[in-house]
Amino acid sequence: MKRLLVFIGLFFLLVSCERDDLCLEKPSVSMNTVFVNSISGLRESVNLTVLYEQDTIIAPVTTDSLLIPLPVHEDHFQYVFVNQNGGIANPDTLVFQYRIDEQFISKACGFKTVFYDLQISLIADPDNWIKHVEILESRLTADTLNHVKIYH
Amino acid sequence: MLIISVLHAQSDSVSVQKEKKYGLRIGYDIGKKIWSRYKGGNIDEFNLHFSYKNHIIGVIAGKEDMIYDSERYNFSTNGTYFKLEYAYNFYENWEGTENEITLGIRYGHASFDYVLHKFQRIPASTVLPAVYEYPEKTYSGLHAHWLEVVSSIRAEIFHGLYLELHVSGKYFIKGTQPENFGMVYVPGFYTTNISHFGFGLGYGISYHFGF
Repeated sequence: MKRLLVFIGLFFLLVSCERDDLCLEKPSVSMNTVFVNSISGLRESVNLTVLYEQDTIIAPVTTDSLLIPLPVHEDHFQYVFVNQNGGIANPDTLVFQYRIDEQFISKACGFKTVFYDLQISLIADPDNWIKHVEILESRLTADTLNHVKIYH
Repeated sequence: MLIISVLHAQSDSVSVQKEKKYGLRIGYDIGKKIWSRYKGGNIDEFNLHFSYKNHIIGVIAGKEDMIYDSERYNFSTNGTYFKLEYAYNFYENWEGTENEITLGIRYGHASFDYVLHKFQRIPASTVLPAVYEYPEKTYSGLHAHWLEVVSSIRAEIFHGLYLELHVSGKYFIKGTQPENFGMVYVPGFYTTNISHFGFGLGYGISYHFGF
């Protein structure tokens, strides 16, 4: 009888050993951005760095699509997109505006930050490498969808 | 001398056969009280059990006030729970003792509220700052119910006073999902794992009334 009770106790111990305190989800949604040639309409890579105030958000990379992290502490700000094709750095500034919201994920993760009512405008300068910005999805709730197209 | 010893032997065998039929026990869970105070909250759990031969039926009632604090979010839970139990005592007591080694099943139900005090917004880049929000949002009228299998040992420490140790396996049936939050804590159940199974360990004190 005692052995049976010990066995039952051990059984429940094993069955309950499922840790739920690890969070594997990203804490906020990133802006899924693709870069497109404004003449051909096809995706085309750029050599790019993204800066925010004094910090580097995206280190130099050559790509035609990018997940760009967004601030959660303010809802309007500017990012500088520096194009380094051909060895000359050409900075263009985009102004972002959105509403911040949260979605509960799990006990371990807490809340994921999501964004909606996204608006982007380009500051005009003498040699913009960015021709046009198109918002495909103004509600950013998952990284997997394309949110923004940047024509260059 | 012989007659006296024979008579004595006879009365011994008669008293061994006379079993205690009914029992009434009231108890309090010390383990939960200590653990809850240590965590900055409070749990008071009482139980009442009635036994007939080796069968035991009981009711457990608790009132809880607990706080959950982690880096990602902080909330408090306030509510009550009750459990209905049937258990069987496997221990064969000598006369005058009421020690128990029991195996039982319970049905538990809780009613409670959450208040979300604080949560963190974390950006997808470590270069950007994280911030805290303080919504003070109440999720009220929540319910949950579950089943438990419990194994306990109860032994007398003073006259009528028993110390109890128990271990339980729990199966969560269902609970109301609060809007944009989770069933993150259930009074009386304590953990909601993904698998719906939980495990409990505890100790308490009880007083057995003589019948």
